[in-house]
Formats: sequence, C-alpha cells, structure tokens
Amino acid sequence: MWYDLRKKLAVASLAAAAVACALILVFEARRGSGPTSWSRLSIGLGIGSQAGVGAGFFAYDPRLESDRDGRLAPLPGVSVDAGAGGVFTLRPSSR
Amino acid sequence: MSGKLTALASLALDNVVAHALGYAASCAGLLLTLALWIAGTAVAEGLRAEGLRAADAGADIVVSLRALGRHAPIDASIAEQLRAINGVERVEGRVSGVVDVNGTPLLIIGVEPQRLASASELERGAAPKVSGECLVGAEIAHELGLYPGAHLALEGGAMTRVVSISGVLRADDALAGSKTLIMDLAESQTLFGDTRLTQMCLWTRAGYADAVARAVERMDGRLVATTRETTRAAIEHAANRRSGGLSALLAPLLALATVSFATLSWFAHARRASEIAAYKLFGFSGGDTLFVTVIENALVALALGTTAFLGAWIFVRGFDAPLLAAWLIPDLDLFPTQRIPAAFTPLPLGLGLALALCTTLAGSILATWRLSLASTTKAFA
Repeated sequence: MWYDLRKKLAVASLAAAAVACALILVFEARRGSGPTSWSRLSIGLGIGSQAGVGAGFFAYDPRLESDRDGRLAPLPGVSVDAGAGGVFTLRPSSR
Repeated sequence: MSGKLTALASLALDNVVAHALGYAASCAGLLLTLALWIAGTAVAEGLRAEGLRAADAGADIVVSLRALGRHAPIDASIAEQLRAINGVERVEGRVSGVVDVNGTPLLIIGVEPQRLASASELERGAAPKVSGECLVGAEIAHELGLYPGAHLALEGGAMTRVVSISGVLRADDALAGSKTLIMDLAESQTLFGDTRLTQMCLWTRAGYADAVARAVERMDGRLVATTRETTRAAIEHAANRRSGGLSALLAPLLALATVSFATLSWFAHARRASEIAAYKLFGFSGGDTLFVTVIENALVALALGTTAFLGAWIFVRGFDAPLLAAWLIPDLDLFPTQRIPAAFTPLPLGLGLALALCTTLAGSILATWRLSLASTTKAFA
C-alpha cells in the first residue's frame, strides 16, 4: 500500500511539475513584450554611436556610459575626459 | 501490443519510484547545471528582446561625432544641415551626461519635450508637462528616495539646478533606464552649461536610411551615422556572444555531470544486474529491457527538466538571478536589487528536457545493453 502511494505521489508530482511549467510559459507569454516607457522615449540604447552599441547596450550603470565616451577609460567609474580639467575623475562627457 | 507496452512503462515507473533516492543523488549535479543554463539563457534572451525593442522604438539613424579618436559633443547648428538631406523626415537632439548626486553617479538624458511628455505606463506620477520636471528610473528613485513631487539639486557644471520629479519609471521597465534621470533637452543643456548635443537622432522616409547615413558621413568625415539595422545587428551579436559564452562555460560542467551520473549509477550495478536477470527469466527480450530503460530515463529526464526550469524561473523572477546576472550584465552587483530582464520561452524548456534525456541515456543505456546480454546465472552468483 505504501508503495502504491509512493507511485501515485511520483506520478502526481511529475504531472504537477509539467502543469507548473506550462502555466509559467503561458504567464510569460502573456506578460507582454511591447515597448517599455524607456524605449518609447527612444533613448533605450543610452548611446547610439558605433563605439557604444553592442557591449554598451547591456550596461545600465551610468559610470559605464561615461567610460564609453572616453575610450581610454581603464576602469568602471573612471572617465578620462581631457576637457574636464581633471583626468580620472567622474565627469559628464559633454562638459 | 499496446498492453505489453503499458505494462513495460508501468514497470519503468516502478523502477523510478524504487530507485528515487539513487536517482536524486546521481542527478543533483545535472539539475544544478541545467537550472543555471536555463536561467542564463532566459536572461540573455531577455536582454536581447529588450535591446531590440529599444532599437525598434528609437531613431532610424543616430549621428555622433568623433574627434581626436573619441566621442565628442556635436554642435546643435548641424541639425539644419541634417534636415536638408534628401529622405530625412525629422531630426531630434539628445544629451547624455553624468552628474554625481551624493556619491551616486546619475545618468542624465535630455530629450525633446514632446517626447518626454509622451511617456506613459509609469510606476508613479505622470509625464513631465513643464520644463524643470523630469522622470526618474526606479532603481535610482529607490536609492535616492525620490518620488513624484520631490525636488533634487543637480550639480552639472558651472551651476546647480533644482529639478522636480514628476514620475518614476516602472521597476520592470528597461534595465538601461533604471539608474537614469530623463529631462527636457534645453534643461539638460543648461545643467551642463553647454549648448552642444551628445547625439542627433534622425527619422527617415522608408528605404532611405542607408542613403541618408552615407550622406551624413560624406558631409563631415568625423560624423558617425549608425542605422537601426546596424544597432540591431550589434545587439544580436552581443547577446549571442554572451549566451554562447555561458553555454561554453557550462558545457564542461554538463559533461562532468554526465560522468557523475554514470559513476553513481554504477554503484547500483549489482542490483540492476539482478533486476535485468529477473526480467529475462520472466521472458523479457533484450529490446524489452532497453525499452524499460528508455522509459525510465524519459521519466527521470521529465522530472529533471521540469524541476530545473521551475528552479531557474524562481531563481530569476524571485531572486533576480544573484551571481549569474552579474556575469551577463556589466557592473551589476553580485546580488542585484533591480529587475533582471528575462524571457522564458518553450525553447529552453525543450532543450533542457532533451539534454536531460541525452545525459541520462548516455549514462545508462550502454550498461543496460551489456547487462541484458550477460548470462542470467552470473547475475545471481
């Protein structure tokens, strides 16, 4: 009897896992993939230059945005901006 | 015939239940590797989808300037020359720069006011209506304690500007905007004390994008025109590189997990030999024995694949993929607090199930075949 119960439990667990996966797939599909507020503002790429596109898109950290502007930037958080008056300081590239 | 197959399938289920603990131990490594692979693939695909959505919603061409071999601001007066190019319908400027707020770097994006006013589906507040109002990303709003109606002092250069927060982007909005403050273009120029722009965004008539891009680069050798197609290709390339890198990293782990499954299965070798010998005494053919094994492995693979998929989903959606997301997204914390983009599609689940079946079959089918050929008396010796 105990063995039968284990067998039924195993079948029920397998079925439950399969149903849960199917429900997740339906939920994920209905979650929607329309443009976000951010992309609707057409600034989703942050920076659109050839230097920035690619690896750059996946960066979300403002410090990396700054780094991409200065190609010599050796470390995250360090912007090399000769015009900023202070090398190796975090400065907006447009200054 | 079907009655026999059902009986064999039922026997396979009996075997799975009887050896449940053994299977759990031998599949643990495989389960972990599969879950990591499914989670990583989902995050990489989510990033790809988010990037492509952003590219599609953005300009047809983004023009930037390179001077002295690096990115440089563009003079705003170039807008008129760009508008005069045949095929250009609309030109907008954009500013992106960084300011420091209490030690936190804040990315400032300046866009045309009408674009800013069209923002919708915000978490809180509304789109900016007047100059001096801005939108803020969910993560930075959380970090700096910002909310609609709050004021923020920004040190942009020569002067300090106080801006008012009108809305907060949703936490599940694009990751790229989570640490950003979006404001009116003119306001951002005032903040940085510079009338120049970071990029010019061009919208063209259908089919004119490439011709316009060439015309822009001919106009001034320092201008770089990036079309939407180039951007999409770069996003695809980066996403492929990242998910491919993850798969390459996990491939040796998967191979190790297969070896581990085969090794641990070997410990049950003697008992397995007795079972197969008993089948033969009951009149099972070699094919019947192999069929039972295949069904047994299919059941194990189903349990393994679905559990790995559920585990990966909880890991990403519930915990924001700690440790793994940092490998896929530059400079993200090891334990991220922001929403991680992910796309859970049937493909990773299907591939996970196929991988689980291949691995378990590879670990057991040869041994079963050899045992089914062995002498019955030897097995009980």
